[in-house]
Amino acid sequence: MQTYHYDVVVIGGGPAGLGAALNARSEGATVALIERNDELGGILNQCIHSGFGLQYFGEELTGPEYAERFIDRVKASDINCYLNTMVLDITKEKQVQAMNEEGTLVFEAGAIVLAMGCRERTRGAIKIPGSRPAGVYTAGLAQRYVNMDNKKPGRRYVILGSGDIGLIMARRLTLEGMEVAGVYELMPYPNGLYRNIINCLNDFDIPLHLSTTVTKVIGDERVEAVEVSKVDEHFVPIPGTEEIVPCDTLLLSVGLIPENELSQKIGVAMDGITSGPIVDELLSTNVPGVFACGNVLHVHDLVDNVTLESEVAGKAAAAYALGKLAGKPTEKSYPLSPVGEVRYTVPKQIHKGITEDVIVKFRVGRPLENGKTIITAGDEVLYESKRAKAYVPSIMEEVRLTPELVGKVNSDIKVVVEEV
Amino acid sequence: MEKAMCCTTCPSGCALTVTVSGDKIQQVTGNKCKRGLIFAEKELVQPERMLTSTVIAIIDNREYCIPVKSQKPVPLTKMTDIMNEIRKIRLDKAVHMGDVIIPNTADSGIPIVSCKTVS
Repeated sequence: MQTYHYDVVVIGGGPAGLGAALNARSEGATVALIERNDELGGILNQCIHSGFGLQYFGEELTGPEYAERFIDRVKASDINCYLNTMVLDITKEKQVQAMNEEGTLVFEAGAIVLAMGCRERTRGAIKIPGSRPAGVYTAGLAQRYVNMDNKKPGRRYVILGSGDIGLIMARRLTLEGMEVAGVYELMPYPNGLYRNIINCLNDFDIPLHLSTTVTKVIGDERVEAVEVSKVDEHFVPIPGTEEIVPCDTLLLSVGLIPENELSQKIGVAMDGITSGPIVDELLSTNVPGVFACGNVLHVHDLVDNVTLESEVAGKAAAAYALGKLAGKPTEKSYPLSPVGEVRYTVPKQIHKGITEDVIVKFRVGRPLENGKTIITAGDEVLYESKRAKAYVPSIMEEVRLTPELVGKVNSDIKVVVEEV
Repeated sequence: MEKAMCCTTCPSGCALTVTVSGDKIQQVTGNKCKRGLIFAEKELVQPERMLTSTVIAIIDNREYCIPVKSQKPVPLTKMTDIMNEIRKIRLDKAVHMGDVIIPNTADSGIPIVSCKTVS
């Protein structure tokens, strides 16, 4: 059994892991990056569409291009990458046990960055009745088959859920000569970005049916059709609205679940809404020296935001491992609570006496045509939007708080979005 | 007639509502800046989109799907022709990100380039 010693061990080589590893290294830490796949880049490798990097690089890139820019930087550095390596266990003492073709590896880490990303919700997770034929896939799995393995999962598709992956697959399948009968969404509003509704569905005359869901899968060996039904305001199918849609494939684009099995093994406290760790402004979990970033922390809208977040985690992990996070344990921290339409915030607590700006991220639970963000701590108003704007659950909101503002905090912080 | 568009000039992605009579724009709402108007004009005459797909490469007996893209947005009306050209391509050696795969796709004047280095 090989034992390695690193200041920072990053688990996961997707965009979050790449960003964290690079920033930890540039802070002077020795870094190991562990990836279970045979290449770095994570899910970006199969996201061949463009639209990445507009914020971070100021230009529009495809997923593989965005990944390659970071992979090139990692390769040019002395970060040690362990590919085809699966992390099996971690301990509170920051020991990481992993396995690859050479056998079992043990990493003794000064700090750990959790960057394992997320996985897709499945049919089991949303309980669709009916038979169990072949031809039911998650949208991301179909994306992998089409974009990386040159395989066509079916000929005629129904897509359940209007998340971005589903919308992007609707266009991709159409361009590859397959037929998409329609996209069905339980909610009364689409879940994906507006640009994807227009560019992926409208451009190709693919219908989007809101407040509608799949109520049965029909077929013996292979999917032959699905039954769809309209739902009422409580999302209950309305009897009499059933319709049979012939198809041989059902794609599910019904949400993503942060992959936190490892985090929970060491008692990382979890947020019930995000299904990710509860973190402070440095993205530190409740387990000292363990940090989290990217989709393992909360599902993001844009990869650019993942990168920016991972840079905070990488830098903080390096500082922790190198003993430079002085003073923090003695500083008092204040919790942030989401109020009204705000579903969650990341971070969930902020320490007084921070030296750098903190970006507070949150999402609303339903679309608002006109809303304002207000952040208060007792009587102190830390932030108030200057102008009202539209809020949608598919877009992550951000507010920057300066150390000066946080210095004024003497009670719990409330993050509110009010309809105006 | 009202037409829904999404301005893709910048990451804001403004939801535009464009009121059209004949082939003239009467009104554009939903844009946060004047670039939205320029986008709407172009969108009405000739909508353009980035096109991405994959080409097959066989390198050292292993098959790869190489992601490719149009270097610039291409007319929506040419997408099918471009897809047909892309589908015919077979590569047999290493490619680098940015390599030109098709110099002038479907006479659009726009090249198809590789999005990934595979060697």
